[in-house]
Amino acid sequence: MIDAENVLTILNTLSEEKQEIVKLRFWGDLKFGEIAEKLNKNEAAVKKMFYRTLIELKDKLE
Amino acid sequence: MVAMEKFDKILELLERKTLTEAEKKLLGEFSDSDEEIKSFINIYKKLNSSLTASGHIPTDLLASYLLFEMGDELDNKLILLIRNKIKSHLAECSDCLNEYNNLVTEYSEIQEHVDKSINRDSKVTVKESDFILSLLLKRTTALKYAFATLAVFVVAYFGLFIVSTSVTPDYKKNIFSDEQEDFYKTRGRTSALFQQGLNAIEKGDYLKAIDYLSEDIREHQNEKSIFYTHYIIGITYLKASESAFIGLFKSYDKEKVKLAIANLKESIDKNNSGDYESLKLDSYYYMGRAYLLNDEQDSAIPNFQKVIDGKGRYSKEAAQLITNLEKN
Repeated sequence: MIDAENVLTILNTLSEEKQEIVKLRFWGDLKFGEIAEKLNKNEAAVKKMFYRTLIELKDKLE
Repeated sequence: MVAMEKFDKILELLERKTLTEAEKKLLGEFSDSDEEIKSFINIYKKLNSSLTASGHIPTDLLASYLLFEMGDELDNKLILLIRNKIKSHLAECSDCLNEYNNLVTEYSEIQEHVDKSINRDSKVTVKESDFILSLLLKRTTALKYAFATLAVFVVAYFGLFIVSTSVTPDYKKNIFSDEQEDFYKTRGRTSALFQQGLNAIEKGDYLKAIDYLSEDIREHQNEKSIFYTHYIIGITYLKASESAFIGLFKSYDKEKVKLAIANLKESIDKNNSGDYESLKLDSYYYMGRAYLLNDEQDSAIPNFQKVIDGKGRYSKEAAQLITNLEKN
């Protein structure tokens, strides 16, 4: 398991929007439809950004 | 980027708590079909485990929630969106509630330290010096001369202390005398550079802290909460500007004080949402104190007046400083 503190440190270096999507998904336990609604975005755009953010996080964690 | 339909299926599988054998196989096939998808699935599982496995709210999130509840971080969108979930969780989870209560205590202590950090007189008293001398005189004859020499130094030191105290104007004394390291355990911003800056301040390494905080400003200058970094770096420049000869005759580096003023001004200019008026008034107060360190009394007074007009937490100190300056 990745150390949560490392994840947070790296997550906090990303843009506010990327952080929000990841935190809302994992901490807020919100569905992508709910995140999209709250961020006033389209669900597909939120999913794409979530995907790219996780790949970015993975690269930074390695 | 993977096709949306496939991605939806992958997410659906990842979000399920339990998978059938057929679903496990399908997820495995997705994973084997593409290196990037494999990476995504792996990092999703790892993040899900590290951020949520304990079933408790991470301290960082609880701290942001606390700041929100205290009115210090009202524009935190994340908290606005999941505030009710956090509230419900706290109502049910005693571990998280305890952690939250600890943070509340820490927050109150920080506020108390900040309130006490200004305008405290030195606690070195004549009684203490008398005590040291009387102790020296009770020593044995063999050590008498050594102690007598030491006593001379002690007396000389207190003599210098009195001179130092009398030649230093009151408004330049003890700006941060009672301040403790806890003052910097704020969570005004969550960027990594800001946190690294706070850690360096906590260790007393102000110059390193200034490097981190400056980088935070360079990299995130358009973020709404960046005014908080300007505020902390302003305070840090003030701390770093101070030097003293054997603890006496304090002096202040004028250039660092100017940088403190510039950053506090920037903090005020960027703090324009109307939600953080208290921090703005604190910035005016410290800016006034900084002007006094550079002997610019005329520039200091309007800043203190703003603190008084806005009923800032340092109104009393600001009023006292204006009275003292007018007397001189």
